[in-house]
Amino acid sequence: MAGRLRIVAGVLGVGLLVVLARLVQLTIVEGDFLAQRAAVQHRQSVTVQPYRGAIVDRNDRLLAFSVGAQSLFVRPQKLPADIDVTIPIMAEQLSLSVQQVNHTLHSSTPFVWLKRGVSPREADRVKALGLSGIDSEETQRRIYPQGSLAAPLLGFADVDARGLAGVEYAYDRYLYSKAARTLGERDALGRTIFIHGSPRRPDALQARLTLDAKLQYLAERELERAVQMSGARAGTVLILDPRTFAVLALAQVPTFDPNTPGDSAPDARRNRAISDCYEPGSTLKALLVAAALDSGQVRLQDRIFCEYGGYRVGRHTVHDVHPYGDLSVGQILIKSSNIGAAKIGQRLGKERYYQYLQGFGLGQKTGVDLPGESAGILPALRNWSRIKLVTASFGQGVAVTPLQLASAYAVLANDGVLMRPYVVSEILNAKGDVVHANSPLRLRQVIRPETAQQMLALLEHVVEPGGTGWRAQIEGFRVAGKTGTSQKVDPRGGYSATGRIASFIGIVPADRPQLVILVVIDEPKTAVYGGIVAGPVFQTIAQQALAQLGIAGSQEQPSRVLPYAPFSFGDRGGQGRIAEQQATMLPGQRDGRNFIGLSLREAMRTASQSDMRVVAYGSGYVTRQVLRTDPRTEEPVYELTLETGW
Amino acid sequence: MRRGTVWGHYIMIAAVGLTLILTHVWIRLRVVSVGYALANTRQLVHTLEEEQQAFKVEWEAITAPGRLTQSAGKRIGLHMPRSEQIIILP
Repeated sequence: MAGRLRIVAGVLGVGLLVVLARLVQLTIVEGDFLAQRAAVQHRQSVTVQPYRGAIVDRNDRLLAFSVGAQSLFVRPQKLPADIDVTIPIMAEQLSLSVQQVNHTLHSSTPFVWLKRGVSPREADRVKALGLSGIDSEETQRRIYPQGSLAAPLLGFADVDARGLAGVEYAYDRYLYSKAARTLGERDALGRTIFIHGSPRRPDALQARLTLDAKLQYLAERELERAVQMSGARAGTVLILDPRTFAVLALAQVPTFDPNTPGDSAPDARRNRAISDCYEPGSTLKALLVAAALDSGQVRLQDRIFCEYGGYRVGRHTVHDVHPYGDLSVGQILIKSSNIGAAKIGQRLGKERYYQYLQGFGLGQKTGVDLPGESAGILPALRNWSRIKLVTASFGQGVAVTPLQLASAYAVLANDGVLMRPYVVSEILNAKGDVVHANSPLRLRQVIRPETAQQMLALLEHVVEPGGTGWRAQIEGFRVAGKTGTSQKVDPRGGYSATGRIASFIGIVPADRPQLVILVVIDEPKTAVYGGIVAGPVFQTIAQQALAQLGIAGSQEQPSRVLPYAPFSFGDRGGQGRIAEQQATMLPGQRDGRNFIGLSLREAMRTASQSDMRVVAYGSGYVTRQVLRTDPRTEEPVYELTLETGW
Repeated sequence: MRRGTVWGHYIMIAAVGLTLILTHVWIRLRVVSVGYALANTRQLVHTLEEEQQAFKVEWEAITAPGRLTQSAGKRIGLHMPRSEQIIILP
């Protein structure tokens, strides 16, 4: 028994020793060499394709997104001999022409792409044909689910996931994450096990825009309609929040589909709001008047003789559309008198005017976080002749981008402070943490807050009946704005005889500004005036934008109440010509001439019963009434001030 | 100590050694097997993620403001409210 046991133990012991010896040989003596050989055989390097983070609007609505796709490639030398039979099938499956596929398959190069960024389904269909020499590689495809919405602002990315234009380009360093590699082990059947962690998609960052997709759509829809109806060549709409200078919408016609950027003309891909310059025309007069008032060179009540429509400056004559005599500074803006503006410019002086224009940001880039911005054209001061100052006073000889002009008006709506406009508010990581933020950046105080308030009040009159911008009125809201009609520069020199740019820029609600909206229509055919072509576009966009944003209006709005044009703002405060009577009656006393304590509706009823005309400001109840004389009709009119909290 | 007992110890040690080796091999096989299962699960996750992305894109395209406005107007006759129809609650 013991002998047999010994034999068994001996055999097992020897076996164990052999195993141990072999173990030592394999792991210690030849360990490194064998490990290397094994690695070559079954280790596999797996590439995780580069990835682009998403772009979302301010409400996290997806504007750009990357999805998994396949890139089909061909090794022509490995293709079967009867490949020509399958060419039409492949062409149909990949939405390519037969010629294209034929050309690719018969290429003389050893490797050629058949189609990049196809859906996995498309790739599977082609691979199901079972052709040797055709294979696919995993890649990413950039999708813009909203189609052409905000396309010039978003830009687009190429097949290698690199941004080429717009936000895609400007924020490429955040949105693009490089390809990653990881190691896996492959078995005899080609199955892979990952030994150094799973092949995770690189953590890409996401960009959140200041843009509101709903406002953007609204702006694009109305702009397209306006361009079509007016037979215009192009158009731009820009919506800015004057409190932060965040761009809420940036629409243009023509535009393009970023899903297929190659199908569009370069003209449609250019972001016109930041790269195209135009002469602002009369919209610049508001900046002139703001500068003149702020510097104390004119006062609102100053009256300026407007030469009855013709004003000679050296060899040149400046004209007005309608002849005017004496106009107050306010009336010059309301009537958009070129001669009046020229004379204000002359009082202001070229040095001051130039400094203010620079202060408003003209002639320099706004610093918006988009590529391809133009600085506009503000000629150097040394080149300003007498006539240059005159023409620059009514917006000729100076060129601005739509964004520059919108920013300059946002200064008026922001208590005189210029800020840097921006389109990307935050960059977020996969967990939603903010890794980069663009907070509102104050640049400088351009004009005093009081001047800005004065300008808003003045610009409100432009939109009232009798002003050039009355078509931009919005029921229930106070609107401040300015029309502009400018001649286009003829490339052969001088100005075009027919080409005009019609524009309107408005601030709403004027009593607590929340939106600055600029509408620019390039070469309208049906009518050329900004008030006629661009004003109604502003009205529609602003009205719906206010509703979308849930912004409540004033209870009543004076311009709707008045059946006639208001008298000059400059006449306010009394110049001896105005009969003024301060109400002395107490609330409750009723004689048909006392409106104190009444709501607007009651005041209107009372006025109509006593055949009196009234103009009302503010909302709530009448707290003050002043009897004035309308200088145009010489008729008495009660000016009522309404306040809440009576 | 008797010789038989010594050999018994040797056999026990050998058996334990073999058991350890076999256990090691078994564990290794399990690791490989679980690795395959993980690889399959990862592939499934990847496929589902791709599908989810596709649905996400489809959802965004379907609920795009332009498409919604068009559908709301054409199919159920909705339109933007007039200003007097808007009541903003304080």
